[in-house]
Amino acid sequence: MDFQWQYNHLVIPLSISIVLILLLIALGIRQRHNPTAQPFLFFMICLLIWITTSLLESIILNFQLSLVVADMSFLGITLFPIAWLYLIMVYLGKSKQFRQILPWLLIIPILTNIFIWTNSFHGLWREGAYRDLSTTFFPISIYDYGPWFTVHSIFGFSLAFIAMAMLIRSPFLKMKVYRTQIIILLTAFNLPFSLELLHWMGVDPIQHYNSSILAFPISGLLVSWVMLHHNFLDLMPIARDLVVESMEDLMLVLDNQRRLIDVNPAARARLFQGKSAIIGTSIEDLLPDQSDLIKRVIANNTPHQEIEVDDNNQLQVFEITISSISHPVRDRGKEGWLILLRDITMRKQAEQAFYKQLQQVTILEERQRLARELHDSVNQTLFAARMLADLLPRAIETKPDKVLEYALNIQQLIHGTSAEMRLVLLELYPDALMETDLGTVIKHLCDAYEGSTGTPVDFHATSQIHLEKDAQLTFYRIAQEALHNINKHTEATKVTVNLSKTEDTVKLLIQDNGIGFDPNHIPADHFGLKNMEDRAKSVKAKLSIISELHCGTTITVIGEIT
Amino acid sequence: MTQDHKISIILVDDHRRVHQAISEMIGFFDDIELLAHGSNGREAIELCNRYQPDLVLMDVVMPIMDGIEATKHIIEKNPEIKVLALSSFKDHHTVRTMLENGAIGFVLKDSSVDDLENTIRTAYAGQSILSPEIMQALLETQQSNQETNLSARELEVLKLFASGMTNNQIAHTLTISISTVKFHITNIVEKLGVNTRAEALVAAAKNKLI
Repeated sequence: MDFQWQYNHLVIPLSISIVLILLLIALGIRQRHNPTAQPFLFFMICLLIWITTSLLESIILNFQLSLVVADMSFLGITLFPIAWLYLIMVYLGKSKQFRQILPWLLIIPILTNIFIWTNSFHGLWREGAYRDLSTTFFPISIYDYGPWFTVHSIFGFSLAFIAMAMLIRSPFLKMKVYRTQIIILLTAFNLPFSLELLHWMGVDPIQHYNSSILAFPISGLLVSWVMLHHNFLDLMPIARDLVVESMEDLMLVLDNQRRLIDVNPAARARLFQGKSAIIGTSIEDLLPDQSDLIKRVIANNTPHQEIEVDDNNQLQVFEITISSISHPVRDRGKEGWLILLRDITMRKQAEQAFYKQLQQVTILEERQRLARELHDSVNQTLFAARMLADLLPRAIETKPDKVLEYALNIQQLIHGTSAEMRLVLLELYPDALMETDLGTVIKHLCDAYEGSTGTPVDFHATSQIHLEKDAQLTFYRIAQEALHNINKHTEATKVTVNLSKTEDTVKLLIQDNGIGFDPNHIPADHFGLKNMEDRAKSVKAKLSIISELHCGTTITVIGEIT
Repeated sequence: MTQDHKISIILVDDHRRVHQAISEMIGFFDDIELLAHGSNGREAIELCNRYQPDLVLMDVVMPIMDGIEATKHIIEKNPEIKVLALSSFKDHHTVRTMLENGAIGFVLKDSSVDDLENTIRTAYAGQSILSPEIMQALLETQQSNQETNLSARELEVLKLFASGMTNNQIAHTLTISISTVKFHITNIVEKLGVNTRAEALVAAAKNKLI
């Protein structure tokens, strides 16, 4: 076949379109790592086939050859609506769904192309064709289409409509960042699309000519502008999907029946051991151990909770956030829940380590404080003893009747200080406290009390009482607290402390003859009583405090020997 | 020393045995009389108002109100009353604040009867005697803050952090940005010479910064 061609007025606009398309393809290739680059390039290549073949068709003089080229153009034209839908769906983050429907979408275009090339056998596509050379601008090929052409057209227009509807209804149109690019994109597409639709309905600005093709230079310019100025391929709603796909936090989406409808790779790997067939299963079945908590969080709308999950045989702690989802556009109430799990295992471990350390610091500080207090008390007692000792010689000279009193006081003070010094050591080295006979330890307390207050303590104890570690400490602390309270609040002039044991119990009794208290009106600042109760409870010892106003107080602790 | 005027004293100490010993001691001097004794700062103020003594022997560490605050009140209201601090604590802070608040002298609770008698008479005469130990305490520089060298803002952040707040909450409370909070915490961790935030809290607790 001879290839002769002639210039016509379509050459310039169509060449401009081709150049623009090539430019856009180059831009698309440069940004090929963007997820939308692929559908964009697909779209542009369809367009390139369409326009290039149209140009060739118009300049080729041989009518038969131009018919073959026209048939070739349908390779691009039939795939064009699919490419448009592809682009829109990826743009809206629905590439997965697109891939699912793609085989079905391809049926009609494939059939169309088969019918085109086999038309001579059945005439389903085209019944006749001639060329109108009477126009001054360019030759117009006029085709008399068969029934399949209608199928092809309806299919193409439907896809285009669906894609546009998706774009218009998408929530992104409401977001300022995307609004401009979506509107420009729609305009660029709608310009040729409307002309195509008019042509199909038989309304043509240029008679018999499908002028939609002439709109492509304008559309191409618009799309180039969106790409260059609005970073079309860079700034995509799809970026959100990528974030979800790549983030370390676990994401689950449940429908309103609490069935899993989406899950990101992190959640799939860590919660479901990478299992694939989990979509559609109810969360109760997937995570039986955690489902109660999830239900509770959903029901109570408590936004943050901690949750423990067995992640490949290691217990991990997550912070769970559940928020209800409703459609951004349609207001149909709750459509499901979004669950986010953030791994806080490391933070938990660090916190635990920290609290442990802090606890140790606190215990150490408390011990040091007690030791310091005792030491201070030792100082006071020694100072008093020293004063009295200094006064002894003067007393012998001037106040002989005071000598015995001073001597006895000095004796008591020195006993007290020596007991206090022992207590300081016991406070600083608690192991020693555990190992010493309980009677000895409590005697130190009584001696120290006598020394620092001058109030006599009547002390009796059965020897060799050893309790279990915590119980020993508890008895000691209760006695200490009780004597402290007597000194602070009771104005007692006599104290009795009695430690006795039976076969399986130890009994500590501390009695004073002070002002006592009304058990129904315990003053708020008497933390000591509550402390004693808590201490006794912690080692399962029985504590009773009996008191009456002006009749003293009796405290009894009974613990079992284990 | 005139026979017709006795040195009148109020003793304020929460320790019963110290009370007892000092009143015994005063009993040996004809020209010194003990008007009353109290066991905390508030009682000291009341007793001074009631008795207008020449001198107060004031313990420092006491419940309800300590000697430091009581001294301030007493001197403000009755500048002619002489307050003599009596304490077993001889740290820089205690000594300095007592003297700053108007105490005329500072006696340690390890003095002999003679020393105490002397100091009382000297103080009554309007002079102050400081023992070498007390002089030493006064000269000591304050150390704790120099060791850590945290700024006021860093201390503030540290305290909020220790109270269990998150970066976000701290930022909100102090109306600064989260990155500023992080910056402060990095500095705190560095200045305390530790590696993690948790360690910083422990270190801060140990150094009594929080």
